[in-house]
Amino acid sequence: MSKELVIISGKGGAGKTTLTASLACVLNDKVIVDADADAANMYLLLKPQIKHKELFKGNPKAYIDVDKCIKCDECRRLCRFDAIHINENGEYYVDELKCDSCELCKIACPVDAVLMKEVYSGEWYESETPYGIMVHAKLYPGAENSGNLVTMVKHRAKLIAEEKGIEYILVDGSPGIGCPVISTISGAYFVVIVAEPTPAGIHDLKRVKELCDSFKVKSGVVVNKYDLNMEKTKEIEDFADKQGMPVLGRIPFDTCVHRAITDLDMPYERCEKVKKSVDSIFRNIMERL
Amino acid sequence: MSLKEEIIEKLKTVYDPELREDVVKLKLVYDLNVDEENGVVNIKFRPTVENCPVGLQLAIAIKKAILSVDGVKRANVKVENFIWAKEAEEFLKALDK
Amino acid sequence: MKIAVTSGKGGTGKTTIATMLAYACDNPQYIDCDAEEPNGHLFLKPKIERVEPFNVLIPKINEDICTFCGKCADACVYKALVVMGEPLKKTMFFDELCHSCGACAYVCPVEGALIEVPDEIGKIKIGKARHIDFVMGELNIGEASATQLIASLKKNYMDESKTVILDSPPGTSCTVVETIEGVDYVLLVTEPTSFGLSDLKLSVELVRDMGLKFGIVVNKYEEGNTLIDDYAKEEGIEILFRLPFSKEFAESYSRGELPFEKFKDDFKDLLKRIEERV
Repeated sequence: MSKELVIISGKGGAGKTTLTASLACVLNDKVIVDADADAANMYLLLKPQIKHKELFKGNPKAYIDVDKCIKCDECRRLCRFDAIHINENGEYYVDELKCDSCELCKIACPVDAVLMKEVYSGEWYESETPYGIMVHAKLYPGAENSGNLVTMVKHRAKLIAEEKGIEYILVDGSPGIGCPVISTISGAYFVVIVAEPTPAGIHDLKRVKELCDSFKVKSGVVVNKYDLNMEKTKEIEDFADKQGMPVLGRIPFDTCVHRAITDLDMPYERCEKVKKSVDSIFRNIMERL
Repeated sequence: MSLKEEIIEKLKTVYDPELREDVVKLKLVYDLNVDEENGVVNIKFRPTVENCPVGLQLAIAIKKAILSVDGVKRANVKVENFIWAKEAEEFLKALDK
Repeated sequence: MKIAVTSGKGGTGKTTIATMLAYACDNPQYIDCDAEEPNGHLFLKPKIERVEPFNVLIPKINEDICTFCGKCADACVYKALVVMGEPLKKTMFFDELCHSCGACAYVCPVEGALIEVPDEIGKIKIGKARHIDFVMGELNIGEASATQLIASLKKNYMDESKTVILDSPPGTSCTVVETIEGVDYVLLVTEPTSFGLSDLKLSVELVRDMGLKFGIVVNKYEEGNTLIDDYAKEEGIEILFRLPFSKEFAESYSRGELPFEKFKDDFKDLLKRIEERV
């Protein structure tokens, strides 16, 4: 049974993808997963070669056959997602972006004028990279429920890891605490939370830590750009100690990271300060796996 | 088609509602063995994750699918690493004729 | 007028831009729709006057009346309900799968067997920050989706007589669609990095799909870095504002303070430019 090491951050832009890409350089026996399907960026650094691609079916969307529709207004009245409207020529139609696929309109329609049509909400890929096999995905803009797509890419990675006897799965999660993050931490062996030393960073760290606790998943914290504000860094580390949460390390603010990413280079390979701090963070993480 | 192949074909109609793919392709079912004469089927099922909220629904759908194949008298579905395994056991037992 | 501030990538400065824009308006209402990780209150420091629970409806089955017909479970596309008749006569409900759509209640043939009860999934906080009307949505931990909470913020708490600034979640999925839908103008906040550009393209695709007017704001802008400028020129998209990168700004941000006054006039210009384009 392979062990899932998940990297999340609550707050966007805290350096989660940079840390995951760096760990990909130093953790060898692993499958990499980019579960940030909504705004996937790690592929820019890892430069994957896609070996296998599949479209991902989202939930089917309702649409109304205007010839059959008798305009009884039942569907519009019942729809709780405000997805059914009337256009200029008085015809009922479904706004696909708002439709939640619940099919209540289809159930309620007295003349079976509502039909469902299959839609694809994204695609996922199995690729090879210089740092190992990578499973990643792209959620089409406006699509819903990226949590399912995250579950899929993690499941595909688990199958690959079992088939090839690979011990770890390294997962880059998405910001926030909603369904994609819940899918990302479900089944995780250990979660690394990347926090930045700012009020927003601390606020979001606490919420995503509480989420991990509610799913009974062990977590540790890494303070990124710690020297931007030593007082807030201390506040984060005190919070972690109080919660019995291991402080896995600190990464300094370094303009080299900014330049490396702009040139699509690996910060771990190009920025000495990052390499040193990630090596020590890696050792602390491995103690917990 | 042997009973075993028929069962596999039937299981391909059981879809995970979140991933919208069948349980065979997703490799959620394994160790299938079929005693052709007595029509007894043993199979194991594991959800994608331990706390998978559709695990119970899938376990029931898998057992119903197997029982619906002609020649199957008894279907033992063992659910593995699933936090609601006890509830699953209870619901599955209730499906036995 | 309704302005949404969104960004593909998280951490590009969406809330910074949204709060500073709200501050520069004469008659603003700031609504934090980033309900998973709301941060606007940390900078605007509002006095909260009211906190209201946000409830959705979920099914509750009375097994004494229920006939275990299973119609509710069949109607539920999300498979949140499991019903087993003889001999078990048992039902199970998985609330994390429920989308509160009402189909189960609609199909239940037995009066009172399945009723819909309120279930709190978040909170709505209303208050005042200086001259800014402040509204904030906060999803409870463990809840899967803030989409219906955001819909309620816009339907029941938005005051269209004011200049409404909607602070959107990052990314391009359903919570963002809910936030930016139907607004007069969308500000796409980005940063001049390859990550920023890659996510900006997704946001541009979304706002174009939705037929919304939009413009780009480049935060942490550095002289000579034309990554975003080149893309915008190529795509024929306007850059309305560039907020230069500065370490003092990053340090004051890390203390939870934003130079509202210092940039007030810049943001007044930005507001004027938006008004001209609406």
